[in-house]
Amino acid sequence: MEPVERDVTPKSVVVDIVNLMDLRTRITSWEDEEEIHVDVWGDDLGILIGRGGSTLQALQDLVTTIVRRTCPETRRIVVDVERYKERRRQKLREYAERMADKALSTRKAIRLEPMTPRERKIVHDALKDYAGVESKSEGEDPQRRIVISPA
Amino acid sequence: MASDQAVGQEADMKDLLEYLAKALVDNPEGVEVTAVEGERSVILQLRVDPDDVGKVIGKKGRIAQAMRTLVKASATKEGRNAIVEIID
Repeated sequence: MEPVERDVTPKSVVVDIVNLMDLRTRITSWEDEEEIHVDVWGDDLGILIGRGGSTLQALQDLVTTIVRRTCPETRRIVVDVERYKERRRQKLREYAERMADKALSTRKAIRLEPMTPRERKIVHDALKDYAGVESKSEGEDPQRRIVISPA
Repeated sequence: MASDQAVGQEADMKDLLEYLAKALVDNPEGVEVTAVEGERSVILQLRVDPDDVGKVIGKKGRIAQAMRTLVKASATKEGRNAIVEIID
């Protein structure tokens, strides 16, 4: 790549990378006070997501490291492809609510599969205002998991 | 899927790795990527300035792993395998 005189932004780095990967995409970016989001859109972007989102995570790690090198104060950078993360969050919330219903109807605690800290936070948040159940985590990473019990 | 870019795919992966490494280090002129071609796979050897080795490896090897993941994804798209070696 020829050196280009311009600011390194999360969006510009993602654009460079997907171009080098020869992927046809459209890229949008938006930000709030805490995070800068870069959304990648297009067909057949499964390879950019990878198994369990692993390629997407690698992309986000690299973009974050590259941007922070020149702008250390940059907010958290979140890269998403075809709303993959958002869809996964939604599924996780729905799953958490189904399990909460089950805990309520059976009056028994339910132990979920081990999850990453981020996934656990999504579940805890989903159940925070859910009447009649409480959620807490037990065990140590990477085996740490949520237990949903009738309050 | 048919590709109209049957030639030069290796260059894409090489260029991708070179771009990432140059963007990560303090001394981009010290970045050099050599491609060793195999039939179905390509070995990409990355050399950087000795002071920059830590930058392309990262804490717990996380950056090196992320570069490998992305380069491999790019190779998979072309039906190939790519191996990234960091030459110390």
